[in-house]
Amino acid sequence: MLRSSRLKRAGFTVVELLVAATVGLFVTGAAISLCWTGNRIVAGLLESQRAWQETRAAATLWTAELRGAGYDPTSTAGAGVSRARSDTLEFSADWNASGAVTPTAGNPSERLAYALGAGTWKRGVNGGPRLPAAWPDSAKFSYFDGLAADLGASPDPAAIRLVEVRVFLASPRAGPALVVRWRVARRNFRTP
Amino acid sequence: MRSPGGWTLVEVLVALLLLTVGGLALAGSATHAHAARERALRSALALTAAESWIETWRAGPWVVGPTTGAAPAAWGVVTGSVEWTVGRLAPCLSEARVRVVAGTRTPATATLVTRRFRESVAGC
Repeated sequence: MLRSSRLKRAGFTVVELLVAATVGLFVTGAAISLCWTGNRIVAGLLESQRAWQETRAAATLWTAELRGAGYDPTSTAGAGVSRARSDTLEFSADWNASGAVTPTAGNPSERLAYALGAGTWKRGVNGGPRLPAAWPDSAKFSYFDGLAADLGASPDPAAIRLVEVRVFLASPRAGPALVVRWRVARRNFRTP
Repeated sequence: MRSPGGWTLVEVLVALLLLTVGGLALAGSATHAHAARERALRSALALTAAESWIETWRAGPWVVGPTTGAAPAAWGVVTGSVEWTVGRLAPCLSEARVRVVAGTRTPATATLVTRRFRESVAGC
């Protein structure tokens, strides 16, 4: 009698439970997959944005500093571009008009050195260590004269009128593969 | 909350509808953020190219007379075009206008105008 009443009690059958569990599993899996995909997209966007912002910030600083290269109001400091290679660019400016490109507390950035390479964009000040300023996939310098003619890999620094930095952003998670160029004309340029 | 007989069909449908709307909203916001980022990127590429063109023009020789031109542009997977017009406003003053279009679908455009004085020449 007791066994009979227990069997008649309302509840789910095994089939119902299995179906519900299966459906629940699929729904939960879909929700988790959706969240995971969303997180992945957002993480990619953030990483892409970070790489792009860092590169733009570094390029903006480089642009401003290179425009001032060669500022030499006393004509005795020898300021200008001193070394130009596809991975290195060194230049100076006599900002405090002291007649020498010697840094002071008020003018700490008279000699600048940039180094580019795979995964590096470094900036060094006054002969100090070249510290990371951005993390592009790779980058290189190119040099041109006033007619925009390419001066090659190791040009005469005095002949350089335009400098271009070409940045490759191609990390799989950093968005579409891009090649971005910043070209800057030296403002303090003397015809050699 | 739950009747002894289980959930009704309407309850299940409403729950599924809410779940679907939530999922679509999540996917939509991610897609929207991605599209916004792509638009911003194309705008930045166009602006950078326009600034580089102006730098090159400023460093170049003085050109007598108006000129126009156009050239394709590429930034890796993104393609576009550069168009420019240079006019003479006065014997010693010229003006350049450059327009860069980045992208093919929903392209971004940057237009810059600048002027250049001729120096170190008699009469200027």
